[in-house]
Amino acid sequence: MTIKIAYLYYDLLNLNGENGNIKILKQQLEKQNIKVELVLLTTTDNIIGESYDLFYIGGGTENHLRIALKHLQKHQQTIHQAIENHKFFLVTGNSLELFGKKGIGIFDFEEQTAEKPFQEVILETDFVGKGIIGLLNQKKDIIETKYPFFKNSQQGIHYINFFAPKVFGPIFAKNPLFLEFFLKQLVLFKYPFFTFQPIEFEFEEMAYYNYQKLMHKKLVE
Amino acid sequence: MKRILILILTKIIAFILFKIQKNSDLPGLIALKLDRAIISYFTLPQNTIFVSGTNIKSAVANNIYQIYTKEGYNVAENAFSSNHYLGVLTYLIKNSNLFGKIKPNILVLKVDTLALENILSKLTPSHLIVTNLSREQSMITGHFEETFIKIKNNIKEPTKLILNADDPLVFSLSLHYKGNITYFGIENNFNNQNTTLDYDDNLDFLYCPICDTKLIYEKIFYNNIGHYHCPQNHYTRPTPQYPVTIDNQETCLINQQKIKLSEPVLYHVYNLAATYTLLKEQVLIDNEKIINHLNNIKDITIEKYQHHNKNFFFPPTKTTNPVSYYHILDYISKQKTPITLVIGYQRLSNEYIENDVSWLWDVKFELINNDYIKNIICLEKYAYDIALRLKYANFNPDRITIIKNEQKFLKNLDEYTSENIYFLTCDNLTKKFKKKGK
Ligand SMILES: [Zn+2]
Repeated sequence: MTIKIAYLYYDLLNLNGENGNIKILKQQLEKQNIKVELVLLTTTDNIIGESYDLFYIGGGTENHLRIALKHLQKHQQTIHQAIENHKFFLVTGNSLELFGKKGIGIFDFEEQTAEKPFQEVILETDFVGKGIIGLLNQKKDIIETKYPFFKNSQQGIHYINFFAPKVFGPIFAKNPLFLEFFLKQLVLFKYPFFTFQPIEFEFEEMAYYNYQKLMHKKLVE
Repeated sequence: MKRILILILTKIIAFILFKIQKNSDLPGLIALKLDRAIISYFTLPQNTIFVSGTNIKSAVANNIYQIYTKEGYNVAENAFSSNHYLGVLTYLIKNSNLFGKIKPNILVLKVDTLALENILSKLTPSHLIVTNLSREQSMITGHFEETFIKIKNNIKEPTKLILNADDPLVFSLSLHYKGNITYFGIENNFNNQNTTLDYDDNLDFLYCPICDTKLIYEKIFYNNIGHYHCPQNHYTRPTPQYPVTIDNQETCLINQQKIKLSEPVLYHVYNLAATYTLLKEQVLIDNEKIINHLNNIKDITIEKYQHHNKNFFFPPTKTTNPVSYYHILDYISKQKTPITLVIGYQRLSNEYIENDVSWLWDVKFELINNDYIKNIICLEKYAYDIALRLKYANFNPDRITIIKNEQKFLKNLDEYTSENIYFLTCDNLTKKFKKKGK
């Protein structure tokens, strides 16, 4: 059994520890005795949608987003088809911009510049029982989307297997429940009868709990 | 209020704070409240060197200061105050006369990259050294590209830039600056050169700023630092004025002269390269004397203390961003004795209050996953986050101990540690451990 992951624009879009998502997913899949093929793709490569089970894109600087977009535009069809064909996507941080009206136009959300600062957030979703912890750049607000990722915020998109919470950083490190959910969906889509070993979270749960406590303290202060 | 009065008032406050032994940026804060542009009141000496960049600015500033002092110059350096805007302002208040003239003949200021914009917009140094521009710990204060733009927009002639040729982002300042620029850089690494970069190597800036094509690297020293060129030849690493060649673990060659290395680590070599280039540019000291001083410099001494038959080691720079961490882990990875590592943060630094520790994932802990690292103690507030990161750097959880409280750790030293303990801790904790060790 093999899961093939394409890390798109690994050399451009990788801010704020987002490579952690790859490290974590890879290790956890391997613990389930699933082979992981990680392919690093960038502007010098061709994207073949059928070849991969998951596309990962991290957040980046404005200039890097611009460079990545030039390349992604050439592969608009491929990417669109991959999304509609239920391929998995995980897009973190500001890279969701690439898929909006100002990007390759797959989703028709629009972003509006807002004078709000970065903020640490805990936001609710439909697919995991506990809130998702993350760092949000609120300088750009999504005005409206038909496919919100969060229940109580417009900051993100979830459509078929396209997951794009707009939070920066290693979302899997901070949110063990989301990791478990995502990993299982990814594997079951390809191998519907897969039996999972229990996923071990030695430190993840305590880190999550601890963060919630710190956030609460900050709010009280 | 008239600026002279502001200066008198804040000097008095600084004096009182000094008397009660409190080191604080309060004088700067008050001055700024009374006059937003007060910093432009100061007149810098003709020889004023700003040292900035993500890393090693303290070491370079200190080298320059030490050498000028030994040569008998009247020189000042903001070694003991913060390198943020208010820290620099406070420093200027303390070291100027009532007309804002800085008293010494040579001034060396290390300046945080975030403060550089506001300071450069009001003050023009004779030299500005930029060591490197890489990702910082916090996203909230902005990333390296934003920092770059702020510097680019505020440098002006006649400042002479002294830039790291091996950092492609730093080099791109040259595309926007008409003034004088000199480069420093190194020719090789200690051992085999890397030729590939992995996705977790902090890939900050790898594309030609002119045509957006991916740069080709002939040599990679670490992360995106090395020798590079645009395949379409728009953008090639400039040749440093005085390239540094590493001979072996003990010596390097600058301008055909041998210099002893106090430790075989890259950032020490970069310190030497930047210091030498600046001193040559300023032409105040003879070449022979510069070489002589550099041979006796100890800019990266690891501090060592004894406590309960244990050796406490403290790295020379703060572990506050992925690159400084890289250099320290690189150093530790070369040690051949059993080691206990202590990693802990109460708060990441005094400037930031957020709890986000995503940046730990940009630290390549994989570098030290060897048999000499016997165990790792994760301390304090972010202990679980650190442990989590280590787990995914393939450290077996058996080697990881979580202790939430540093007192408990100190009481049970024997239980937890091998003979040599390296501390990678925030300032607050480091202070406490150093006290124990003394
Ligand atoms: Zn080019």
